[in-house]
Amino acid sequence: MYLTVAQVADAVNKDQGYVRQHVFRRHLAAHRRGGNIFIDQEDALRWAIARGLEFNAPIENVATDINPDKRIARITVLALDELDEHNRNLFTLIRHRREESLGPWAKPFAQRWISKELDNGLRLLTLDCSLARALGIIDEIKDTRTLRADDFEIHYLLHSAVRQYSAYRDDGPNTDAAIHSPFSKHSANVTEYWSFDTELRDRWMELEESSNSKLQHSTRHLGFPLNKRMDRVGNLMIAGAQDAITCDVLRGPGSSLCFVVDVNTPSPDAYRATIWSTFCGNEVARREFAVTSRQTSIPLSSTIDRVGFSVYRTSDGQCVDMMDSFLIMEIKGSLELDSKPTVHFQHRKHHTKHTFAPRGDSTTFSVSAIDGGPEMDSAIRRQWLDHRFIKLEMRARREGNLVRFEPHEFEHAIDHVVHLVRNHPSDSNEPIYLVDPYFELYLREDADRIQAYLKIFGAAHGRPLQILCISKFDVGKQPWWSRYPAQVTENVCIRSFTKNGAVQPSKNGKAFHDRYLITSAGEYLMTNSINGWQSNGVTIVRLQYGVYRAESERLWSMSLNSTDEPYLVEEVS
Amino acid sequence: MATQQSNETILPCEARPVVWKIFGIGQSPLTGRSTHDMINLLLREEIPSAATRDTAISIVRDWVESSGERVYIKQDKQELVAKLIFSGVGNDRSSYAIWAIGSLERSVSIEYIRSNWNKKEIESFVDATIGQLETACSLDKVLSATGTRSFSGEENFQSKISKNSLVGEGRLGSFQLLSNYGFELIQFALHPPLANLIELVVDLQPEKLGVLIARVDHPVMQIRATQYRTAMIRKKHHRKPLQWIAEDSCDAMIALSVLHTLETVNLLDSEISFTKRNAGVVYQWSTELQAPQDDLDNAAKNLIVDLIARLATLEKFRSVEWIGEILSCANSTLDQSGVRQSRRCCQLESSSIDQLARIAEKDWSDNLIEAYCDGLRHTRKSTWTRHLANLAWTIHEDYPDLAVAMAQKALDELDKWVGEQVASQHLYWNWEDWECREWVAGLGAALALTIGDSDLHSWVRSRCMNLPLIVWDAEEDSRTFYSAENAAQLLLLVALHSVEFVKENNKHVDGSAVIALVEAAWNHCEYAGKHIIEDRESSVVAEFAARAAIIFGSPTDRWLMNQASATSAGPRALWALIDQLIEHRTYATAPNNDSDKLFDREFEHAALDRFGDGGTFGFVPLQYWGRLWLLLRSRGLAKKTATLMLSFPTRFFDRYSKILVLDLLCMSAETLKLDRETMDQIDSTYRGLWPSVGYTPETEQEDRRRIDHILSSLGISVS
Repeated sequence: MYLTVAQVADAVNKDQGYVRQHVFRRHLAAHRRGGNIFIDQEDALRWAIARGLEFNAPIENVATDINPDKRIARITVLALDELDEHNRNLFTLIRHRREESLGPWAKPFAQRWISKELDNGLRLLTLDCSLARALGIIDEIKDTRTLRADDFEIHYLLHSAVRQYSAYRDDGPNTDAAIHSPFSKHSANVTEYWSFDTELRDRWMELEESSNSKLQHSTRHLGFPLNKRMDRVGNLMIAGAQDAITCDVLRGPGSSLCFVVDVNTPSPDAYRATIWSTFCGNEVARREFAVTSRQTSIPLSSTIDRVGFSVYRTSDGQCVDMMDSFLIMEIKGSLELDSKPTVHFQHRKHHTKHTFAPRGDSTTFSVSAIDGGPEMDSAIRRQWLDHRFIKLEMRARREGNLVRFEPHEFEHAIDHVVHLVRNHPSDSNEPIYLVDPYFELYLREDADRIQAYLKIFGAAHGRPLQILCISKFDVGKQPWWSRYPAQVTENVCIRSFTKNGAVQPSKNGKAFHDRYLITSAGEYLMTNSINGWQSNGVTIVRLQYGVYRAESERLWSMSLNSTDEPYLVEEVS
Repeated sequence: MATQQSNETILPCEARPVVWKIFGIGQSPLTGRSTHDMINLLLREEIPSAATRDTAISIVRDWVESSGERVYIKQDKQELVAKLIFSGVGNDRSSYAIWAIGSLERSVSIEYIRSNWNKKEIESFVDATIGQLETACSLDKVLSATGTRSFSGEENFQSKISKNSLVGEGRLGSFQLLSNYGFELIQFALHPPLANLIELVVDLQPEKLGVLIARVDHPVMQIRATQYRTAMIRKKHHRKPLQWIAEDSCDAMIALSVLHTLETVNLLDSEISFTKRNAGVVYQWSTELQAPQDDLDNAAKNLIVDLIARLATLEKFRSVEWIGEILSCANSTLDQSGVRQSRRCCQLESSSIDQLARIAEKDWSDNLIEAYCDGLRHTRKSTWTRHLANLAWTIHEDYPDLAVAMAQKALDELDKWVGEQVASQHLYWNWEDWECREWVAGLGAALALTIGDSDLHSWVRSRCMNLPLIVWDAEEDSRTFYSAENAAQLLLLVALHSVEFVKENNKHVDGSAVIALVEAAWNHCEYAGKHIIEDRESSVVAEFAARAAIIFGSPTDRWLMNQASATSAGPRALWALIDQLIEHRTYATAPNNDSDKLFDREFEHAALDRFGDGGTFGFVPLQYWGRLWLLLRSRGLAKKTATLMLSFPTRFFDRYSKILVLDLLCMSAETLKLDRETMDQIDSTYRGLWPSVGYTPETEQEDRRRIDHILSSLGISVS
């Protein structure tokens, strides 16, 4: 196992100059590779003992037990260019792997960094080099807090302590790792230096917000989804592929799984593997075995819908690879031709042209993984899907996130909404939003729904209730509540959003289509407008995204009676 | 007729001189006025008496009918209105006079003109009409959505179907597009008076077709005119459109001549195939030729040869550009299958290349290469460079320097295309398309001409190293990697095809260099297969590499054996190695059956380690394993492979793979004990393929005979 100068210095709690001096005076045996120095851990330990130094070996060496000259690395740096200031590191990823994995068309390393200017003052720097050089660059960053990448100088604000963990290559439910492996065929050892620069994180979030999804596309060569992991902004991450062995699981002939490794004759005691598969949540197979051949076949007793494996290094019990994935069970599609070839003809006398377009063919297709399998498996899957649906709905109901009302339960549905509105605190400054495109402005006196609306108005009494609809406002007609005392609607404000002739509205011309209620306790999606609850029922679902609140606030902020707005907004008094 | 008389007689006399103006203004697409408005307006102006005026308005209104925005003169009123219009127009050749005549159906107006006008009057009318048509075209007032299905109700019809938007790929391509898909535009969207006037001009002075096409700068008008003319003359003079190609012909005229000539070739071909299938059936011949007394095949061929010869009479640069354009566009008219090159395409290409070679013989310059490329580039198809390469190969013995310059140009264009397509993540080629296969072969020839002393492997390597093909690219940007991988496959195919041409070019082919190229191809396939979903080890590159190794690489038995056990050569490569080796043995001067058999057994043994229990292979690789076992006569493995293939769902099977399974099962049954399972497998596969009541496709009859023979020799009856 090889250590860098920085690691040896950390291990004996001395500065790097001290270690370099001892190397220079040949007190400490070292190996030079390229411009970098490496020290065998055994030599370093002997050297430290001889000098009475306490030696705390690194938790796990970045270079692990491999020769850094035989591995290649790609360094990607996402930097923020700031006017009159230095470039700041937004994220640095150093990935390394076996040299031969590069492929047959790899060319010799270029000595210079490749710099690509992205939007929003971002810059992506890339360098392909040997792991030895990459380790030297890491040392330089740690020593100087600066990376000199040809013409660019990138500044880092890193905590000196390092954290290490494993990153597996899937997001299956059994994987606890927050970070997925950046390698498609291997899990990874990750060493990470953290930054706690909150100002930089805020800058990144601003960029994220302003760039929509473009940032994700432009930074795809970074090799790390920084847009999804803002907690990593400013960090430096080193990811080493666990590529001593490459494993995969394939569907075998008939009803079997085949675990394959890429080495012809794996050392019998080097690795052990566990493979599992389930169908509708029931375990069909779970087998642990020594990896001794290129292929290990596991017979299956039924169809499976999920498969996974993990591979452990026998010497230290370390899990070096793990994968868990659900299988696609069925793909359905349909194809319909608009029409068969159209026949055009003209009336001989009247010049009228006619076209005759016979209806086209249509076909649907379905590819099922259970096709041809035991009929029982389809039935089990059907029952399991039913069970899952019921279970999930029950949980949602239990947690108050989903309530269904049948058409005859109109009263209960209104009572539920009244309950939600009542829970809005009376001292809250935030208004209650009721967004219902077909909120009824004009109703006959005997309509049931008047009582329903009055109940909601009453529940909101004392708090602002803002109702948004797309119902056409008729100046010549009085809304139904004008017949009632003013105090009924003194806290209610209703605005109608209709197509504005002066400005091109959205595609369908409607300002909004969804129905929802927003209180300070949450936002509730309603599957029907209130005027349809008696005929179709309604499901009220609690959401947690804040999207509808943002939408209603945006709509409400539009100027009244303005032709400059996308919609004509009228307040119904 | 009685009604006509009565209408004519009761139309007030004051109204009669106004009729031609009503239609002249109302039917002109240039005025923006409607016929109904003009009926009211002009009759009100001319007839002071309200009662008479109302009668006149009512009568004239009764002459017309509407369809959408369009107003037509009723069929039974055509003659009546024609009399009034022609008497009103007289010698007037003004805009309104022309459009008034245009409002009449061509059959009605032509009859009147031929009976009543002298030559001079006709000439003046034709000249004035062409002028009006030219104005309509320059103002782009030619088409409207009325009467069309695809465009009716289209708000932005005029902007969508503007003159400038009707441009296809090149001069010929634009007309091909209209001919193939523009029926509605040509027949219905064209304003009826325009259509009537075009046909009148063509009828009255067909010799002015060239002038008409040159002046009416609108593709729909131009193709309408020539379609009409072609329909008139094809039955008597099918070669007539060839004559439209002349030194003074405009580009549109030449393009339309080419289009209609190629369409005549297609018609002749369909008549040939019809008469083959329906001997003795009376047929409505499309030209003056009739089978069997006339040689339709030869006529079609002559049309193609003479078309190219006619183009060669143009000015040198123009001629070369036109031949280039025909080469790049013609097959979309001549070849509809796309699977293999049609005979006519071959004839056209060889005539064109011969013609170009003759031009090269006289006086060729770099500018001519550019002109040729300009013609070829008229389509967006990447395969256009094959014609450049083909010409280079054709002339390479007589004009080596010129050939090398052309070949280099073709390869430079390939590099450029690869760079652009990889950057846009859209690089794609389809080996099933014959043009693609010809393209690769052509580029192989070009490479052989330019390669000089360097080797093909270096040529591929230098390009692939500059593509995003390393593992980082695969992980960071899979779409770009996929495109680059397609590019690498293409470059490898070009290099592999080139070996043969290098040898044909009397250059030494170094066997070890070929082997290096072959190994590079397989290494690439193995590597790519790990990073993309598609099975690259069963790609066409793997097969071509294997065949090249046997034909040009002079491989040793040891090397061959190593491939069987190493992982880089996939099952398709192994099958192709043995397949090519067997063919090679057929022509061997001193065949040694014993040693061949020994070799086959060793090869099988080495490959067996790779195959294992076969459980890791997909359906396609299993097919190649199966084909390999058939060649090696490995009966045990054949049974195993067939069983593995049958474990896949039925949707994986095409007819070919079912025949393969039967072959494998039959071979295994020849020596192995026939168990119940094998019997059932043979029975169900055979019945699935060729049910007892059913038809055996022509292409499968040989397969069925072979399998039936084996089954009967084994005493198995399935049908």
